[in-house]
Amino acid sequence: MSFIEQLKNGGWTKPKLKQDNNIRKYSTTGDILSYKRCKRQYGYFHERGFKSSSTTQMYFGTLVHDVLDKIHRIYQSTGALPDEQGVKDVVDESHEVLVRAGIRPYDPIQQKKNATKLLGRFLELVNVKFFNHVQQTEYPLERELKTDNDTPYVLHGIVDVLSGAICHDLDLPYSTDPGDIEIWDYKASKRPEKGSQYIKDYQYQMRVYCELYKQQTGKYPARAVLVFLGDLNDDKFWEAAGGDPSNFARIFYVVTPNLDHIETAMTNFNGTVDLIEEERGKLFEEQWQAPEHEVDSMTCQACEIRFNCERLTSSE
Amino acid sequence: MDVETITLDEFYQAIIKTTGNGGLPFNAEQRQAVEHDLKLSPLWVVAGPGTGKTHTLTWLLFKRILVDGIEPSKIFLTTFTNKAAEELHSRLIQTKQQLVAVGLSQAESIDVSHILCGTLHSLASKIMEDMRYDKALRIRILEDEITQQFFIRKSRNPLIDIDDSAFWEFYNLWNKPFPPNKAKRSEMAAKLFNRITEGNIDINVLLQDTNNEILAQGYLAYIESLHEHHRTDLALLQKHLLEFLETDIGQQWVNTGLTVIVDEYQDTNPIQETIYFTLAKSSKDITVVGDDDQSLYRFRGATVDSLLYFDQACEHYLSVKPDPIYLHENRRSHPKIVEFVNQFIKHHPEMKDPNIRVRAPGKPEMTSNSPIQGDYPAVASILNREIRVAAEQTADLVKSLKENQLIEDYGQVAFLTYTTRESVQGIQQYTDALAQKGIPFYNPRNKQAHRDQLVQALIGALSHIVNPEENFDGLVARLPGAVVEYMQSCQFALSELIDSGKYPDLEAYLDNWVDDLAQQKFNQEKANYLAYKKGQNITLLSLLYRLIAFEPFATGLTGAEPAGRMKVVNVVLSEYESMYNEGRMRLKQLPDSSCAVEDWHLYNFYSIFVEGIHDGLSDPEDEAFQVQQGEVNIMTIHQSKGLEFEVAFVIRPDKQPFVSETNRLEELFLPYIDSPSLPEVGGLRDDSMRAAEDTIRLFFVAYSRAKRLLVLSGKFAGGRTGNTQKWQRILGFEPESGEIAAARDLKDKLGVQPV
Repeated sequence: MSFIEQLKNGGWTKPKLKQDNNIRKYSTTGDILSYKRCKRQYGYFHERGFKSSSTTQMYFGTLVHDVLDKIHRIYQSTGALPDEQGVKDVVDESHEVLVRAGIRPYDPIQQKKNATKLLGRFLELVNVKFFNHVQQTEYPLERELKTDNDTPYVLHGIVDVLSGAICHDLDLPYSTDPGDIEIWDYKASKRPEKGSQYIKDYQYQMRVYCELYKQQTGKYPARAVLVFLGDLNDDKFWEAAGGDPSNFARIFYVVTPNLDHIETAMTNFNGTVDLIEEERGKLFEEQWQAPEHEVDSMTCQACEIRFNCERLTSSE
Repeated sequence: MDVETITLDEFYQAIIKTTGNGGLPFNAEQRQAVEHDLKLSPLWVVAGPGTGKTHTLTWLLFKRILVDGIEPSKIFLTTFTNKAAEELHSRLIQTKQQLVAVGLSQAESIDVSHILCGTLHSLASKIMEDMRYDKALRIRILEDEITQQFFIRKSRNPLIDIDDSAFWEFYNLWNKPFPPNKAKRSEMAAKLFNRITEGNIDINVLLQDTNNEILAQGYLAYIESLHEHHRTDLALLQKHLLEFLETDIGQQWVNTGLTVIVDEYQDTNPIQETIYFTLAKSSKDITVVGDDDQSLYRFRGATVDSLLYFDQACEHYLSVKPDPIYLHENRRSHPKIVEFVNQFIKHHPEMKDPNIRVRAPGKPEMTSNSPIQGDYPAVASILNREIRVAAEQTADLVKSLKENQLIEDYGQVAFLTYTTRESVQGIQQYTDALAQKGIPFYNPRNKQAHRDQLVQALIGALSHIVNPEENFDGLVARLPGAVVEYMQSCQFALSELIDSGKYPDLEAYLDNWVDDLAQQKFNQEKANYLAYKKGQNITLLSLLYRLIAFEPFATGLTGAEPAGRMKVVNVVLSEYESMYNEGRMRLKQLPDSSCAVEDWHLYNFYSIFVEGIHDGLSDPEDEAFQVQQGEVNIMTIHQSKGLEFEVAFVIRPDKQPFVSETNRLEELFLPYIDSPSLPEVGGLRDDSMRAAEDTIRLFFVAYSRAKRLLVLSGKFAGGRTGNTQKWQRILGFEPESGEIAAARDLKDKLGVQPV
């Protein structure tokens, strides 16, 4: 009897194919928006682990985040906010860490000056009324969810600041209450044009955060606020505001939880997770093809896999 | 949200509902582990392969949360690889969802994401970041050995200049008549530095020892350079965590009472042991799970003694005795496989010692309780004097398993070997045989990947652009001979492509570059990069991306294996760039005012980057293996840890590890390591015994991966001149004739030879 026959006649049972049961983590910016922008880019740099050479763009945003985080901690331990020189020192210190860690700006002196100016103005504008209410920085949100296809996944995100009623205390022109809970997200850039994709993406991100917060705590935050620090650079606006935050509404972009909008965002999120999971299930050679939709030229220009992409049969 | 507690009975009622068969999904030992009272003693779980370790861990953890009222954020749960951590995390989520689904409302408020679940490295990063530990904020990690070696060279560590062979021989790292080159020295230095860190060795003590003074100074210089560049390596990340735990904030955190659960504890090194016990200092709640027979990482400083002498460590650190539990009911494999594995491990005299523990004390044999049954030869062998024949017969068997529908997919078959190197001595004959029969296979971490034609042509193309003269001998400093040879074969690979005439686009692209550079007038202001194109600086990495857009590389990117190899080139190049001039290739002026790449930039490209590629594209032991469907998966036994396969072929088991520098280093550094689980100085077993233990454990892991069928396939010469000793070792039984004299002796024990 051949070996195969021995197996067959010996009660061999044919094994089923094993399913991959891993539950993956998805974030709004790292996964969903990135996939939606271009799935090929997402596939190569996020899924397959190709490394890109550009890191300079990260510098300014990272610096601003690090400095604000540090200032919050200084405020917590000393009960006072740093003065102008103090801000400059924190900027220098954080800059030093980033440079040592290889995150370098093009023009360090100018960029540091810029950051000191923006952050100094921000502190002057919002003062302790902001920092008094900060409950937690880098507040993690994470929830186990299921897509409409019943695929389980973990949605996660990190909120820059979870706070009490900052808007109320700053007298910002929204319907506020001293008991409000708010989510704040710092952006180092200027506020993008109304209706631009950037604004849409930010709104989307905030809506998902609101939903996550609700899932985690049982209720929605009063609002999510994006603060565009880049606009503080504008001397004219700054002078005009006269130190009153409510005169500087431009830098605050508020997303108020709206059930319909949140539901749309979550449906879209779930749908995108399904698309990504489906893509992963494809044969290797068929995965991560160029998307059929238009991709904006900035995305393509910054993408190094563009030379090998149907969307951009490059002449370079 | 706080989790409301329930009684053990309520907990069990809910679990029973999830099983749907009216019973608890535990055997007696598993149940004992789940019910263990954390206030009484630490828990010491020794779990054989396939005995439901993760299953038990998961329920044990939920019991802690739901019944004992432990907050999820106070649970520190760690395992060996990122992949295992992800699986564990998924399992926790699924379990929670099961409990919610059967109506246990209390489970709903469990925040699984608050559980600190990950590898020790990832958790160290996370904790230090969350607690804003200044020393580790935004710190960059040298993620692998190649990067670490790049750094050691870049920072001009003093050990790099030691060309006296005697220094390296002392550590048993070098035994050739000529001195090692710089690349080799950086590799050896990295190995020594990691040993020092992982052993948690007090460097000041080492500094006092005349034999180790130079090494200690080199280590201190390494630490200083890392600090200067705000970098760290994986081993040191643990050291940072330990330092953090000693700060006021760290101690406050520990004092809140942490539940520490460690999986794969048999591969713990001294610094990790110290960390775990420091974490558990206030709560005394530590659970370790592992299998001494599956300890594989001695060569990375791990010591199986941490598991074997866990009781001593508990008494030392916590002044309590742990409660040992043995999980022994194997539900994974066919009973004949379980029997074979049992015989194998208990047979070896090296695995018994009256004076020291080589295996966990009182460990019972595995029992079999698998749904896989059947009276067929579940363990078999394919042996031949000629590897080629054995390889062909192996490929035939794989093919007939599929053709006869005994398996659904080639992905259900794994080839496990000590090394996946595709060389004549290694498994090349096997991969050749698979290819010949048209069986697809996946061997991503083939150690010979740098010999891959596509990879070589790619390196050749990069080199052609920066050095069109292809001058490897006349560089500013001498390149190691092996690098020159390697470059010559890269050049050859590239010219074969070009000469085939099939890739005119690539050819034109390369020609353009060379012409551009030759015709470019030198301009001091633009001398920092090879070129500026459309406002962008061309770095080496951006050049690589342009190259892989051309055929045949572009098609290569559509296959898992070639794409994986090109990715590794990409990753190594990106690490090189981050350390060397950010990828700039500075230009110099030639006498005719045209340009060429500056001497040292060119030299570093070959001596650091190309050498890094040539030295081996990656560490096969480290990289998690992504099992592919539709292809026979080829991996090292190390990579197969934690996996299971319907059919496992152990290929060339006659290729085995032997006594190595690991054994010497273990002995050498023992006096400087302070660990309650390690033997006294002089108490180590003979190095050949320790090497034998490692071989035996390695094959124990390999054999226990198989669910339905285990086949040993290799060269068997037989007779006096043969390799019978090696076969004796990996079989673990004496044939009736006393020694293995002929293939027949093996066949008698192993069942029929499946030809």
